[in-house]
Amino acid sequence: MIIEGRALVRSYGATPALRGVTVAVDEGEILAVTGPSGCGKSTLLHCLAGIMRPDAGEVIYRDVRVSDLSESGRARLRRTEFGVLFQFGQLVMELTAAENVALPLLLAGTGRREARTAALSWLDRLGVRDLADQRPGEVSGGQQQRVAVARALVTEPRVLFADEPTGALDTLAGEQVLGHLVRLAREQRTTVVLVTHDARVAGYADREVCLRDGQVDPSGLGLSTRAAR
Amino acid sequence: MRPATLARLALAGSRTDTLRVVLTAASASLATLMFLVAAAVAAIPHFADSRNGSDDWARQYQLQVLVEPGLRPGVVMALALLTIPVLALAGQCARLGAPARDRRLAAIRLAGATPGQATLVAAAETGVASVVGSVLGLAVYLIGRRVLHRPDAEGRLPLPTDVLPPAWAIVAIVVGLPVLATAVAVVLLRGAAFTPYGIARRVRRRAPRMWVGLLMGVGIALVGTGQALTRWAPDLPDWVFPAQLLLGVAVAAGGLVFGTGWIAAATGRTLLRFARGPATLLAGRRLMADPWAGSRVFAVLLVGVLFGAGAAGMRALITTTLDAEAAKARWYAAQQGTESYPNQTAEFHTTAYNLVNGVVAVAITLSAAAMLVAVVEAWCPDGARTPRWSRPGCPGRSWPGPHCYRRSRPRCRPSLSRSSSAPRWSVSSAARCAPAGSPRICVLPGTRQSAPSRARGSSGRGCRSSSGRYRCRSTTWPCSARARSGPSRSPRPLACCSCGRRPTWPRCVRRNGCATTSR
Amino acid sequence: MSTPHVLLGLLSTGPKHGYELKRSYDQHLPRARPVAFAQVYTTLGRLVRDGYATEAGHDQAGGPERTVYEITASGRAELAGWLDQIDPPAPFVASALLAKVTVALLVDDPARAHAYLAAQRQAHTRRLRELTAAKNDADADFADVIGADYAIAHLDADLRWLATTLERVAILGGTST
Repeated sequence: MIIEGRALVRSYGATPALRGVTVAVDEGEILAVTGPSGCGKSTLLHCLAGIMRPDAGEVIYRDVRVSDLSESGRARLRRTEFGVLFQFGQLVMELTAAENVALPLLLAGTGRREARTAALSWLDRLGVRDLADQRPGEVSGGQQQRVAVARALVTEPRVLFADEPTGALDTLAGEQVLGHLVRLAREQRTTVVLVTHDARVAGYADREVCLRDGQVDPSGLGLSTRAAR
Repeated sequence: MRPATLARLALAGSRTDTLRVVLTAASASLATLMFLVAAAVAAIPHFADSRNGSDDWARQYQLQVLVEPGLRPGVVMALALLTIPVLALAGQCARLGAPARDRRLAAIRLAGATPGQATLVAAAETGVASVVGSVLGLAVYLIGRRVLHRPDAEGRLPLPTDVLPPAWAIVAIVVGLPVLATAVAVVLLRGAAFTPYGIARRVRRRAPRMWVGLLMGVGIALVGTGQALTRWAPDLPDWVFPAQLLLGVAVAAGGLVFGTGWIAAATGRTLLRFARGPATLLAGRRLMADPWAGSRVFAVLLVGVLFGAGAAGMRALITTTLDAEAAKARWYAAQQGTESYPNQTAEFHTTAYNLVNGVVAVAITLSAAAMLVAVVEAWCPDGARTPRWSRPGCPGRSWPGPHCYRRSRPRCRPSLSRSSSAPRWSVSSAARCAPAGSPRICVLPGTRQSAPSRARGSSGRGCRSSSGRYRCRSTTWPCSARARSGPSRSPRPLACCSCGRRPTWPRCVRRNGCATTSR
Repeated sequence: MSTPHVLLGLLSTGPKHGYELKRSYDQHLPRARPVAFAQVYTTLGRLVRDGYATEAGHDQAGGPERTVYEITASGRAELAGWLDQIDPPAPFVASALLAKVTVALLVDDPARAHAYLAAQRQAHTRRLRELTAAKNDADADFADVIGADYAIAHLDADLRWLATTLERVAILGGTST
């Protein structure tokens, strides 16, 4: 087990998003978190990745209580151990693709040349080397997401958190992004937590956790308790 | 993070960001210049020497306010106060393109930057800009000293170009200003929280309260009742009247500054209540959502106008008094048969008030510039505070905010050649109109979906189009059919899509197959 | 699916004997319902009878003698006609899944329907994963990929229908009581 969330509770104002979710992810596993919209799956991912702090419960990553770390500590952990991938918006629009990929390394203090070399090799592995000097706004959504995958993996993270990584893409572009993601993750033995509402995306996972109304749905149907009566 | 990385991240930006950096540098140089001139005035040496009986006057200047040492602190204070509108300008400039910058910072945070690093990136931009600005200000000051050092025929100087502020003061200004600016930038960023989807303010601004608006009234009352109070209670100590006056002005100014937010919010509420189209609706909601956005600089401008008005009033009072005294002196001299001497102090007062007026004019100009920046920010497509939206009538353009309210009323005109008042973009808006003769459904749903009672009781007078159908929003029915069926069963057409009013509105005229106003 | 037309299509790439035809079928339609040898031969017989295919000689390369068939001109015309013909989109809704859910709701035992659906969903998901893995396999050829895509899309549609239906049932139960 590499990362675990225990009895996570989190609400936005009066609206509860997580109502005691316990989930454990094994090392090297690809876990899909599914469920209808508003079931709290993104919140769970944010809590696990240390982007958000749960109101109650704890997140444990290899004996480190992530939920107890300071904002800076969590940022450092995210930079070194985690990769994050969102539907959109994670690239800095003002920087070129290569600079975007190199950014986590640069923020960690790596030299510019070294970081660029690493970035280019990752862009190459994702088949977007040609776009290295273009800005995200100048390339297609699918290409942007591939650049984002490169950036998420450039630090060789142990855990990759992906929140609807193909939500804004058409089937083929999404398939390419996911194909690369899963292939590279398996090569590197990276653990992946994949949040999606799409069964086809969840099909890439080894295991599936279904959330419903802020709780894990044991039946896996993602149905409200009303339906079970 | 290495310095090269920091520089790259701090200066990565679009054209709006460049504009912000330039404006920040410009206002920093302006502020530096102001402070340096103030320091120079303060540095005019005192010549008083009781042993040889010389007085304290610096007779090498043309301006009386510089000559008399007792007046110099006032000049220094005026120059220092003049930096307030400059700083307001700087503050407004800092908001230019801020949403894009916030988004960039959020993305950088997402890439693994600690909060400290993100703040550093933001502060570096302000720091670099203000250092460049203050060095520029120093250069302008030093060059200006040489260029403007022009003694007149009597060897008197127009400006204190013969003295230099002490070195420590120069260093303090040139170093202190960027430090202060950066510190302010950092403090402003502290209130921002990072989320994966952008930077969110931790503190939600409360809606402005009404009492701040009432402060204005209280201030005005204080000023107004001052003289009456002294008359009513003549035993009060001497300091009460000026103190009351000062307090009144301060309270009024405070009320003005804080009250504008309330006025903006109240305007928004009123606008919302009478909103008929989406433009009004959006304008009202935006005013209510962020009443401070436009009103902050507006308040500074108002305070500038307040002071200007006060100064003008005082000037009028003084000149009238002096004129009256001069007339009295002349009359008295004529009575006595002696020669009257013109009053020397009249010229002094006029000069002094001219200076004050100049200062107020500069302040108002600066505030107006800051307001312009605010308007530009609201219009800027980069300022993605309002999501990019376009509406019929403004195809493909984003016109956020109340600024374009009047121009952006959606119009559907089948023919443009006859409508002289049509703005140029209605060429494409016409393309969105349904073809003539077909039952029309307007592209724009009405904002008020049901108001049959308001339409009741009026005939279809003047609103029948040539094809016998109305162009209405929120209905797919030909309006003439509606009009015939009467108001009781089916709702009458709610609004003409051209004029935005009910089709029965008397001002509707028949034109081009579309009911329009004769606007 | 019309097996005669598929076999005609396979024949159109060149003369083949029965065994080759069967192998070609398996290669091009790997995920289709398998076709038996006997069915291949009876179908070929019918095609010859109708004049769409003809015997083009015998092949005896290192084995038993085998009849080689080739497509005729009228066979090509028939094939072209079949390819041009639009298939009626979903004329009947015939699915075991739908039938079971309907019957389960008829006998008014939601718990049972729920249990069945949970198990069914797991089976669907498992199959979906297998297909996804097969599709992303390095050795997968084009036919594999489009075949897997087809199956995945249908499984996905089934899963969505399942979720929506149960939501509907829940809402119906909530409002009627």
